[in-house]
Amino acid sequence: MEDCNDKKFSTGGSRRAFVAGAVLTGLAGSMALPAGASVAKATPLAGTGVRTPAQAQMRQWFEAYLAAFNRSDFDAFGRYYADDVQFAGQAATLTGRQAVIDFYRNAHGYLHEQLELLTFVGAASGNNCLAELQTTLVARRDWPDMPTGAMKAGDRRQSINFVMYDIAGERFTRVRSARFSSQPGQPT
Amino acid sequence: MTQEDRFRAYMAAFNASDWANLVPHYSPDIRLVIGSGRELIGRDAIVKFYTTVKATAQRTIEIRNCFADGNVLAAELESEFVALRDAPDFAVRPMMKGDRYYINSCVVYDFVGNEYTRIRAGIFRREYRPLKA
Repeated sequence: MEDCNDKKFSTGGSRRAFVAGAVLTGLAGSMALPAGASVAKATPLAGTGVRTPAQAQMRQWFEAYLAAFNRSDFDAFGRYYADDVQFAGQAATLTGRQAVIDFYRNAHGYLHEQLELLTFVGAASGNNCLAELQTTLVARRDWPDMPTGAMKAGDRRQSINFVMYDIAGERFTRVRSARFSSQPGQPT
Repeated sequence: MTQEDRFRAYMAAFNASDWANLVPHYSPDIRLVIGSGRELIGRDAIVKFYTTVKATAQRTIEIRNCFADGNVLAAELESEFVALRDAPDFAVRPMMKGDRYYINSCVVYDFVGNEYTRIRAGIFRREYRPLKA
């Protein structure tokens, strides 16, 4: 079960590894807190939900990861993975940071992959986050052996996935993806 | 009560088939998308669906993790269905009496106040465990 203690995210030394990514999202120098985050108080949102400063900061940290991923900056996004990360994506089940990087280095040779963050839920404990991601794939060239189905140059494929990240030491230790699909229903 | 506490109370009501205490957790226009992608709209549709499911299979849901951020709560759940009778038209797949179906899912709950307005599930892992392998 979750630890509901509000852990301040990303102020430790390992955070420095992510400064390069953070600059992409408009944070300057060392990890600046989001606007208003210096107030050590949860922020009430419309609808009675709350987001703590640490959760807001965690989201920025995650967005920097996505920015690095979307520009195929393997070194930058690879730093988010623990050495022994357990990775269960839609196209591959892998163990270890290098295996994940190798997989994406190969995949991005065949296709352009863009991730868009639709929903982010960060645990106050800092130990987990959930991202709803829209993935758009556009094949650069034919990839008949693409794990989730052959693609031809120019093919475009889009999906929505819920991705759960276990986090320790500001690195992903486990990543699991669940495909989301919806068949619209009728009101009763 | 935190959103996580409220969620645990909601799941306890679900496991107990306590519809009277379950329904107030939903907004009147709730939209619930189950792991198969089927969408249920409205409180009555949800109760009707799960009443039918529970008449066919015993289902227990265990919360593996849950956390809220803003107006969204994310949960990892483990469910096991045990067929109470032969059910060739069961919601997730044909089941024979005694068969088990395990689901490890990720569910996202949007809420306003104390009511869930949208619930969406995706499946990490599913496993059919027939009584007669």
